[in-house]
Amino acid sequence: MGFFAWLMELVDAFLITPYRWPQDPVLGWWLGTFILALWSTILGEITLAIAFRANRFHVTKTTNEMAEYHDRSMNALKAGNKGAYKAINKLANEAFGKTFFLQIAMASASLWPVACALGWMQARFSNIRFPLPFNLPVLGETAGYAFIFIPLYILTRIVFGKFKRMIISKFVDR
Amino acid sequence: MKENIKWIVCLTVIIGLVALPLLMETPAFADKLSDTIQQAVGDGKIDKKAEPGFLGIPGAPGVNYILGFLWAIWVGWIFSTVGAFGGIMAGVGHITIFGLGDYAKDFGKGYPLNKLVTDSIRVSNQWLVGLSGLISSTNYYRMGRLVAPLGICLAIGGVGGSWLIPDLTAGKISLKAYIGYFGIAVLALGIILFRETTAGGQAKRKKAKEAAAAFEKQAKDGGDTKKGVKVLEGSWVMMFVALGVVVASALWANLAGGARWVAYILALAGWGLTFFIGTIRFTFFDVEFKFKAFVPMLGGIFIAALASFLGVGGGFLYVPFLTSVAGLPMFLVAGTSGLVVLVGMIVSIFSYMVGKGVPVQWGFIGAELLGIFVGSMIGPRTSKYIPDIWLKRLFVVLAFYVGIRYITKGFLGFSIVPPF
Repeated sequence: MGFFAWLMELVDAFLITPYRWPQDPVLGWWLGTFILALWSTILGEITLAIAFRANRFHVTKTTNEMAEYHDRSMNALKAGNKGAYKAINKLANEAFGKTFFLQIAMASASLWPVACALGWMQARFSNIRFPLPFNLPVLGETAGYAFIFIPLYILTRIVFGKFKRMIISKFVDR
Repeated sequence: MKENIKWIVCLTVIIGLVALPLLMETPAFADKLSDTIQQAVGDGKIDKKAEPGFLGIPGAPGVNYILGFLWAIWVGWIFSTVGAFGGIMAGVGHITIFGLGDYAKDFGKGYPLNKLVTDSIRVSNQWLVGLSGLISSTNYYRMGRLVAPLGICLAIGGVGGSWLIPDLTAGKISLKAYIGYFGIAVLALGIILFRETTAGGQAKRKKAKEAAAAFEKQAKDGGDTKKGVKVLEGSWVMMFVALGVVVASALWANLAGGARWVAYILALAGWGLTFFIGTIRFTFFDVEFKFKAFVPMLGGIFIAALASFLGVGGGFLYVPFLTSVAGLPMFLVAGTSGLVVLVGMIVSIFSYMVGKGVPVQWGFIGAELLGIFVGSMIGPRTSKYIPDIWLKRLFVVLAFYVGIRYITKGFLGFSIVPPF
């Protein structure tokens, strides 16, 4: 078995375990999916923190450059110099492009675990339909894995964010 | 309070459109994919017993996660050094590097499995782009740098354009033709980049820097980046009605199943209503800007249609449109174009995944996002050793190579640059 296959097997065993903790399969489904959402949140937060920490200097530099050109372009416009405004605005746009795509690339740090989790669920549960307690228009009486995972992830992310802020503010107060 | 309500309505529409394709992804995925595989097995095109590969299709190229990850590092590096070209490179990976292009082509023009793989490649690109739009528009919304009426007018055009084009082309365009059109877009970008590297382009840049220096003092004296957008004039009611009508057209097209003419009429009605919104005026940094509502709407139709067709974000087209045609300052362009890219991508992904039942391989997108993150860490550390002009020249050469290769491969059937 190759390293990659071995790793996948290990991850699969790790992620499926909470699904099997309760005797009741429905309860197991909810618990396992919630823990998966929690892992996705934590892992994303950690890698995002690494990205920001590592690129802090570069982000600050490009953001300052962008803001500076922006201020100057607005000054040119206020002074009624349209030609200078357009030329400086183009420089500001270029600086923005760099910052924008850098931040986009860095933001993937927080979202990659979500896509990986969905990928794992796709392999595990794509043929299973989960019964809903009510009939929804368009969806019907059953839903797929994404129906449960995405709202749970968003919820976990919000709660996690609140906890993080609470802990940080306590820590800073001291 | 009034402003909050507007945003709540906007966000509800957006979230509704985001959530639905995710919720619906599984049933459509299972049905369409298994039907297409069954048909290919029946036609003797694939061996049912072969090892499953991409999307679980028997005999399809195995999805190499490590290759996807490594290619995404390159994409992330480009994102963090030169910018926009990263999206194009992600598309190159999906078409060529992972071997999906040649595999789909083998089935022949118009064959359902060819169409399914082609559309899946498009949607994979769109997921990456849509996520970037989500992040940037959230950031700019927080900073108060979104011109909501402008974003809404662009979105009125964009929402219609981004469902109409997939509707008219999905399944009707083979991967071969798609590659050709993708090549044209890459070549166009290459030409724009090339112009910037010529002596004329450099002279213009130098002049712009001199102009920027002349306004430095005033910037220090009066620079106040806290002044946000203040809308002075514009019919909000008409704007929301028009947006609601085009969103309804997209929903009808994707969910109603029959009577497609209703969706077409709704889209046209939404666009028609925009002409009654009139002129929108707003101030930013105490400077007044104004635009006719139908201008961004028309721009939105064209850009979203092209972006949706190519499976790219269209950010590289919105930015020059907003700066050159609308003459807006960069800070407003950034956030507004991010919002429009997001709305356009949501509707397009929705159209493919819900309307057409096109599947994506989630794990692969995950590996790519991880690679982009790693690349974004490397980029800033290497860019200081490579002058900007040389980075641009590198991408001009790449854009010309990729563009010419895809155009000739797509439209002539062979590449005139190696590998042939």
